[in-house]
Amino acid sequence: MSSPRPTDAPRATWRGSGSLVVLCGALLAATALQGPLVGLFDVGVVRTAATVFVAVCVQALPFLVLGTLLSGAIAAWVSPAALRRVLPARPALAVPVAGAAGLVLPGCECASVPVARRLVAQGVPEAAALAFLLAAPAINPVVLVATAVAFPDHPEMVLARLLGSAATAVGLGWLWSRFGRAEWIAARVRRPPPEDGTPRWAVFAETVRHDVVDAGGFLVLGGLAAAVMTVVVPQSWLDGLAGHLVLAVAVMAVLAVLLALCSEADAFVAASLSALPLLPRLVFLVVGPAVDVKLVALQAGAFGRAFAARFAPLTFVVAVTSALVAGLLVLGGPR
Amino acid sequence: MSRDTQHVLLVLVGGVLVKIVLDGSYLRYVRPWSATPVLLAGVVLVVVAVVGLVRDLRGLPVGDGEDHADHGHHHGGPAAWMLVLPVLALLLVVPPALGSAAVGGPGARAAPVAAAPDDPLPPGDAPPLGLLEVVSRTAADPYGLITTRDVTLTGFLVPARAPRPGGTAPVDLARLVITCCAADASAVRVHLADPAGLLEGIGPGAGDGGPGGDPGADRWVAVRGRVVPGTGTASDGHVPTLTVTSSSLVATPEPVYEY
Repeated sequence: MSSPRPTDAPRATWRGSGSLVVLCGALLAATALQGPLVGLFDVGVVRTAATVFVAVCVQALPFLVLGTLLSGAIAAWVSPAALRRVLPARPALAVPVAGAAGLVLPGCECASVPVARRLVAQGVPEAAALAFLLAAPAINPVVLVATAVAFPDHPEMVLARLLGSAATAVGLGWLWSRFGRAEWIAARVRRPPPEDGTPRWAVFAETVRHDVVDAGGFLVLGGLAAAVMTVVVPQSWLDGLAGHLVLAVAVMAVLAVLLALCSEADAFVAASLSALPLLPRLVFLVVGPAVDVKLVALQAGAFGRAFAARFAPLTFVVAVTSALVAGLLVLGGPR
Repeated sequence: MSRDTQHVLLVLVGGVLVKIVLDGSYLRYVRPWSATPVLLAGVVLVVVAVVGLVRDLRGLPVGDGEDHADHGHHHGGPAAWMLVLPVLALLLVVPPALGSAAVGGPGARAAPVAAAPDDPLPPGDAPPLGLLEVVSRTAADPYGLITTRDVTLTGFLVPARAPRPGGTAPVDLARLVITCCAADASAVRVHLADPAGLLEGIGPGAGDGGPGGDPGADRWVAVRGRVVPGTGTASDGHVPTLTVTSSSLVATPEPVYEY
């Protein structure tokens, strides 16, 4: 299957065939061992984890593909100059504008990562792209409606969530424009597509293909982590938290990171934990779409590990703070 | 990972997405409305892989802005290999839908209870209702219409969370509710009161294996009965009690979850 391209050195051709041989070997070995493999998956906890893992992948892949389609369209048809015209020149203004753009784009967190990466590649200020990255999954109409449906008795949760998530996105964008350093983002992100006469549709197809391969593996990694956490995080973490507000906030913030739920679904999970006050549940809703194991994996893949190692903890702190402030303002206390 | 391998892997990933929609097994993982997005995503992955493959074979430039001088190893990185896992899981194992193991096991959650208006019940003798609907109705009004008629509920049997006095069988009827995908599944329960002993000998399925049954398979039953007035409130954790008047073993319903 190696391609006879002029750029291919013989060694590269051999290497290309090599990874294909590994892939075929892995598929053949797994097929031969199908019986024992199926048996291995027949233990309750492993079976649950396997189902959750596949469910996260099947649920998230269409959103990831949607994000890569947008990313490909931006790469092929939206010039850096056009983006500069749309966004204010000053980062202090560009950040809230980019955050507001997230309000109208109904995307999951998996969709927003490739789009934000492409925005950076097209020369959008990083702080603005990051504000979009955080805002799009957290405050789009689908998520807000889901939150209203999940909390029929507490419509103020919608406003609190909107405020908390918007403050997280804009606050982090401003922090990044003030303290962020360009070298934290992998240099490969900033290469725009070449003007070598490749037709636009081919740039589009290749960008989609390349982004899916790049991000897909990290998505699977994140899904694996979330599946393991779903079965190993003990239910007892949630029992007896009702009387301990500070502890409840801390546990819910950590749970939001570990469980990696879709932002469309997390409101229903938060609503089910009715023994807890509203404030810790609001923290869960604001932290989840901003930082979770699946997102950190995707961000490490898109922007590099140096970026993820700084961005994830910073987002966590900013999101918890924003949620607490929004909760105090809107809910008027822990409740 | 070389470009050729990436093409093959993307065709495989796209192919399994199309396959699980066509054979219906996607309902074990996501909601029915996901059929179209999953199918489209699968088709897109196959198409972009084929486009890449054809352009490579014709020796055309790649056009993604990456430096391809070191073709063959920086691309995608080792993480791209992780895409093999869902392919293998969906081609070889096809993990089953979540069942009683997820209800009793760690990480199990109770479904959110939204009080539903007490609208008239569907017509007919013992109309079939979802467990989530029953629990929502009793949460709104524990003495409402739901307690005045027989209903038919379908779910799997799990050990009762708290056996209650009064000749009740130590089993609950349970069903899993999903919002987006099986990762957010939560359980909804109805306690079964069984004064006539109809459920004797039909224990929860998990682990014991029925005659000729698959060990670990869930025991799905359709029970007919009436909700005991005054149950299903916050004091019993929104688990109403149903007095069983008849029950029968049934096949796993399609779809397996409630939404």
